[in-house]
Amino acid sequence: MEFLQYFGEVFTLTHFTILVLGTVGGLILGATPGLSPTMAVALLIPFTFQMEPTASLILLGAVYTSTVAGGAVSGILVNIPGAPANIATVMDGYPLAQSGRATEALHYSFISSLFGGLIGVAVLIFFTPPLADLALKFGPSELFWIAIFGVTIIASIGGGHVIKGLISGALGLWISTIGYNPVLGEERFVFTEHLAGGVHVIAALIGLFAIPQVLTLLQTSRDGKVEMNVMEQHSVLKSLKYTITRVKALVIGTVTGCIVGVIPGAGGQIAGLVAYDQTRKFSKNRDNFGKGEPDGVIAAESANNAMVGPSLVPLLTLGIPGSPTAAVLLGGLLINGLFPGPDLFTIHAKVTWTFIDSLLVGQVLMMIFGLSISKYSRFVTRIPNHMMAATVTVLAIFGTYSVQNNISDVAVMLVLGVGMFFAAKAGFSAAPLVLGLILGKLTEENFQLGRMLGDSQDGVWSYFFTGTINLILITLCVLSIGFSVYSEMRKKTKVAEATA
Amino acid sequence: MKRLPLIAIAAFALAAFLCYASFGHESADAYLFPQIIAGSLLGLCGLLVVREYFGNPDVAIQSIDMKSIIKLLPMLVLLAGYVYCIEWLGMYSSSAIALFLIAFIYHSADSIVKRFVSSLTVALLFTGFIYVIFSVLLRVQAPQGLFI
Repeated sequence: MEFLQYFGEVFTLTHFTILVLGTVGGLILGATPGLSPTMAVALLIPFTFQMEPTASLILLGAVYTSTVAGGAVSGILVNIPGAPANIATVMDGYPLAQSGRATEALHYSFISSLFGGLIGVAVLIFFTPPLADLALKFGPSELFWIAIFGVTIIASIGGGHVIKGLISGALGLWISTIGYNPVLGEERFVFTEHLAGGVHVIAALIGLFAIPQVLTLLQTSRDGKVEMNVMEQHSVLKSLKYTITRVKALVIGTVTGCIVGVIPGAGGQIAGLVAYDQTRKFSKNRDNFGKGEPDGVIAAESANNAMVGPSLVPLLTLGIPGSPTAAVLLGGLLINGLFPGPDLFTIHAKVTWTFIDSLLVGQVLMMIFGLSISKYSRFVTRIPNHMMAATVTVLAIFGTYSVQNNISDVAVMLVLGVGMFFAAKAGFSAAPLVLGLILGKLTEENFQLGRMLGDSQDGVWSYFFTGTINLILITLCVLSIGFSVYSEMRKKTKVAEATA
Repeated sequence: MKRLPLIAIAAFALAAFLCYASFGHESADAYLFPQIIAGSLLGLCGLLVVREYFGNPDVAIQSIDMKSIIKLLPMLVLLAGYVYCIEWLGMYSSSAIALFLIAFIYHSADSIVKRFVSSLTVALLFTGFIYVIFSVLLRVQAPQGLFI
C-alpha cells in the first residue's frame, strides 16, 4: 500500500492548485473541438520545464485525464467529439441532447467517467509495481526487444495500414539517430545546421500533433455558429442513482477500457467503440442504441476514462505507452530525467506515487468540475476554427522555442508538422513515428551495449536471439504484426464480399 | 492499365535516400543501427510498392485536391515567413503579425471591417497573454529583433 504513503503530497498547496488548474484547463481544452488530448499534452510540456518533476507530472496527468472526459461535452452538445476517444459517446449523447436531455447526458458522461477512471487508476496502482519488478530482470537485449515491440505494436494496432504503420515507426527510429551516437559520441546525418543537436523529442511531438491539426482546422472552416441544444434542469443525484443501476454498461465499459488501455498503442477511441459495441450486443434495448440510449454514453465514457490508468502501466514499467497521449507523456517523463522502469518505484518513488495518487484525486475533481462547468461550455464550442488555428500555431512555436531557446527547433517542428499533415492524408499515422523517435535513443543505446556484451560472451547473435524473455518478446513482435496483417486481410475480404 | 502507386514510390525513394545516407561511412560501428533501420525501411517500402500496385488500393488514403492545397497555401507561406521574421522583427512582434494575418485571411465574415477588428483584437490579446506566460512567468528569453 505504498500509494497511501504519499497521498498527502497531492494536497500540498502547490500540487493541489496545479491539479485543480490542470483539471479545469483540461476540461476546457477537451470540450474545445479540434484540440485533442494528445495535442493538449504535447503543447503543455514546454510549460512544465520550470516546474519540479512532481508538479510537472501532476499537471500533465490532470490534463490527460480531464481532456478525455471534457471531449464528451462538445460531442453531446454540438455533435462534434472533442477527441477521437469520444466518438462512441456522440452516437447516443447527441440524440439524447436533441431530445431535450442534454444535462442528463452530461451527468451520465461525467459520473461514468469517474467510475471507469477510478477503476483504471486502481489497475495502475496494483499492476505497476510487480511489472516494474519484472523489468529488473531485463538487460540490454530485453530492453532492445521491448522497444522494438513497442514500435511494432503501436504500428500494428494504432489503426490504419500495418505496413504504413511500420514504415512510420522505422522512420521515427531513423530520425532519432540524427545527431550524436549515444554510446560512441560520433555526429551523424547533420545535413543542415538546424539538425546539429538532433531532433528534439518535444519539438517533434508538438510538430507532429499540433501542426497537422492546425492545417486540418483551416481546411475545414467552421465559423463557430453551431447549433447548440438547450440544457434542461436535471438533478445530479437522480443521474447518479440511475448511472449506478446501469451495472452492465458500467462493467462492460470499465473492463474493456482497462484491457484496451494495457495494450500498447490502442488508445481511447478503440476502448470507447469496443465498449459501445459490446454493450449494445448485450443490451435488451439494443434497438434504442444510436437514438439516445443512456447506456451508450455510460459504456463509452466509462471505457475511455478507464483506459487512462492502464495505459500508463506499460509506460511506467517498460517505457511502452498504452496510447498516443501516453507516448507524449513519456516525452514529459524523459524531459524530467525520469526513465521508465524499477527506478521510478525506488529512487523516484515519491514523484511516481504522488503522480499516481494525483490521478486518483484528479478523477474526482474531474467529475465535480465537469458537472459544474459543462453548462458554460457553449463558449468554447463557438470558437471559430481560424481563431483556434492561429492561437495553436503561436503556442506551438513559442512552446517549441522555449525548450532550448533555439530557432532551429521551431524550423524542425514546422517541417515535421507540415510533412505529417500530407503523410496523414496518404494513410500514415503520427503515433508510431513519435514512439520510434522517443524510443530510438534507448533502443540504439541498448543495441550498442548488447553488441559489446555479446562480443565478450557467446556472440551478438546468441545474445539477442536466445534466452526466454528475448524469445517471448520476439514472438510478441511477430504475433502483433501477424495478427494485424490477418485482421486487415479479413477486413478487406469482408468488404469485397459485401460489394460483390 | 494500373495506376502507379505514387505515394508508395515516394516512400521508397525516401527510404533509398536514407539508405544512401546511412551506408558508406568509415566508422561502421556508429552507423550500424541506422543502417539496419534504413535497410528495414527500404524493405517495407518495397513491400508497400508491390502491395499497392498488385493489391487493392489503401482505403485510408484521402484525396489531396488542388482546392484544399490552394486554401492552405497562404498558411504555409505564413509559417515560413513567421519563422524567418522571428529573429528579424522579434518573437512577440512576428507572433502578433502572424496571429493577425492567419485570423484575417481565414476569417469567414464578409465585412472587411469586422474581419480586421476581430483579428486585430485576437492578435493583441493573445500576444499579451503569451507575453505574460512566457516572459513574465516562465522567464523565457524570447529573440529580439527590430522590436520585441
